[in-house]
Amino acid sequence: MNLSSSFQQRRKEIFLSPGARDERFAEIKKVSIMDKTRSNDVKRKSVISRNLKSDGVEGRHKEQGFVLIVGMVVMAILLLLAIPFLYQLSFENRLTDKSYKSSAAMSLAEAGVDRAIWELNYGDISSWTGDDTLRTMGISSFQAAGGNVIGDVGIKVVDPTADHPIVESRGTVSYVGPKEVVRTVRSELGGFPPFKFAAFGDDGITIDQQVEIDSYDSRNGDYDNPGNMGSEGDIGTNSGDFSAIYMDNSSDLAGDAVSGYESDPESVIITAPGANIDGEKRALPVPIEFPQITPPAGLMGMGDYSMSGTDSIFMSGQYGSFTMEANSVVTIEDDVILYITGDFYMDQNSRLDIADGASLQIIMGSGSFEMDQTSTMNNLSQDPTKFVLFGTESFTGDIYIDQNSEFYGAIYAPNALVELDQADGFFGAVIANDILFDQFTVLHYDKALEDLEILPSMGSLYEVKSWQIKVSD
Amino acid sequence: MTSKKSRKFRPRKDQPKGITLIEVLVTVTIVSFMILAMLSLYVAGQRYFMNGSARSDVLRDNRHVLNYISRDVKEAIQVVPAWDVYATSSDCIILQVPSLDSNGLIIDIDSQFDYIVYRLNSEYPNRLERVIDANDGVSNREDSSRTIATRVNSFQLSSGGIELSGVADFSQVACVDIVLITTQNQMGRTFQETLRTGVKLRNKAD
Repeated sequence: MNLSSSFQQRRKEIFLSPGARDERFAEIKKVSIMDKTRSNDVKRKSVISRNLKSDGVEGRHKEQGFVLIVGMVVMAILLLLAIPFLYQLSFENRLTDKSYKSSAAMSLAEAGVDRAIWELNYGDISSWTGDDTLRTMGISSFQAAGGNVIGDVGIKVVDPTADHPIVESRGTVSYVGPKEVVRTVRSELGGFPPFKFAAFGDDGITIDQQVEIDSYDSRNGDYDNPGNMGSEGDIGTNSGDFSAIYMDNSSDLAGDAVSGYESDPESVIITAPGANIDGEKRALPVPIEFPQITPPAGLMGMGDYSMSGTDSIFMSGQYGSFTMEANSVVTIEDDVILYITGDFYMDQNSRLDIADGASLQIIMGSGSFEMDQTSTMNNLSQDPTKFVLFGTESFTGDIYIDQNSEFYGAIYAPNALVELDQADGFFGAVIANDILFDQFTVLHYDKALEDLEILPSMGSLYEVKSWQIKVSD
Repeated sequence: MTSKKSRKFRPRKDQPKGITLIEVLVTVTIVSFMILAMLSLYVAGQRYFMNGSARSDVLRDNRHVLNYISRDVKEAIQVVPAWDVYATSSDCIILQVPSLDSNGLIIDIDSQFDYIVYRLNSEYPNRLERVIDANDGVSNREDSSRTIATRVNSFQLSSGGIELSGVADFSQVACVDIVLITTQNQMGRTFQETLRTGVKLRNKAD
């Protein structure tokens, strides 16, 4: 039963009910008003419902228009417009990616060289694949610290037991699909070149009055050749102590004076009034660590050597001591190494000749090295690289050079005290623990000594001698 | 309110279906505004993109040139103060590099040298030149002089914070800092990009 019929029924019941007529009509009127109000509400609801319907989902399906199509067309146009941007972005991205991977491949290749050097110096290169002519090692999927795989490294070491092995290291980084970015570094290794200074005293240098230090290059001929004199006769020390380098008055240095690492050059290098430094006072950028000399193995034992007459030496050997008595003459006729475990002494007017074309290395194990003022170390080639005096770690004695003629040679004795009294000229370089230049001594540093190495077989660590990016394999 | 509005504009059943001229005009106007807005956005975006692309090109060219120079500096034995008619300065560097054999390998780093010069062309100072003076009859390199970069605005060389022109002792130069500034014109605008790098001389003995 709906509400309208119920109102009709109610009016009927009121009309038929007993009671006063006026009261019944009043009651009927009230019910009629209620019915009308309800009817209006129903109509209103109907209109709202219809309107809501026309706005609803059902209504939209019935609408006609092209918003979707327009939207799609606009999207398509935007996409078309975006394609060149995307292409360009992709191109840039590829370029950046390749640049990054080239750098990564180069870093891997360089890391391979470092790994080979470490293996030669501290590790065991014999554990690598191959033999003493060629050793190889590969690292696949090398990972960075974060765990990301960078690429592969392939390392080759040619002649790994030689003094100058060749290392080739190849870094490979995958690029796009099967493509790879490859970089190869080739490096020749060698020993430590110690003679970068005219004089280097680990603990210090004392330069007496009237001492002169400068440079020349024996590869360009004699010191006196025009233009051959230079001002690269640097002196240095690892010490940072006050006055570790002292130059007395009227001494003259044509080169730099270098103090120890992180030291104050002004307090380490002290010059008396009248002393002159052509170059600058500066501190070492890094400390210099000098390798200790290891005598070559397998030298023939020769006992003690004492010569009073004339002799020639063609062979290397190990001597307990080496004495040249007064007026004796000994000639070195070949490339000779003399390992002397005791004293070396040249008495009055004795002469040690190093023949032109020959070379001499004296390795002092202990004792002292002394020359009488009238004796002569006669390097006939006048090439300082042909005579080198080494001191081992256990050689902490004195080396005293004093001859009345020009001396051509180099001294490398990191634990010894060297005293030079060479007014006639010392052509070469000196490395020692302490160096004393006596009055009037003249030192001409030979820049040709820069290339002289302490070979790995003599105790040096391997280090890079030459480095290049190899273009093709 | 909603019900009244809906009632007001609700089409009657006897009205013809379709689009009125006013509706079309309004639609076209709105779409035109939209397209105009999109086009202006696109043009602005393209301008920014082209600008970015131009900068990217300049940077890429710079990087390529710097890689070229870096490689030679890495392989150099030392920077020399003068060679032939050239002199090392703030915008010119002379590198002593090892001579190469026919396989491209170093012959003897102690005795066989070539020289490579990077400098701004004196006549056209916006061109960067690479000059090779090879060790004739020994090195596989060939004498050459060619431009490796144009539109160079500035080419600055220093070592340890000191311009190369102010270096007293070139034997102490173990690292070279290079700054390359180039310009490029794009859509009426000038772009200037700066790239800098520091390169260690790998073949210089410490």
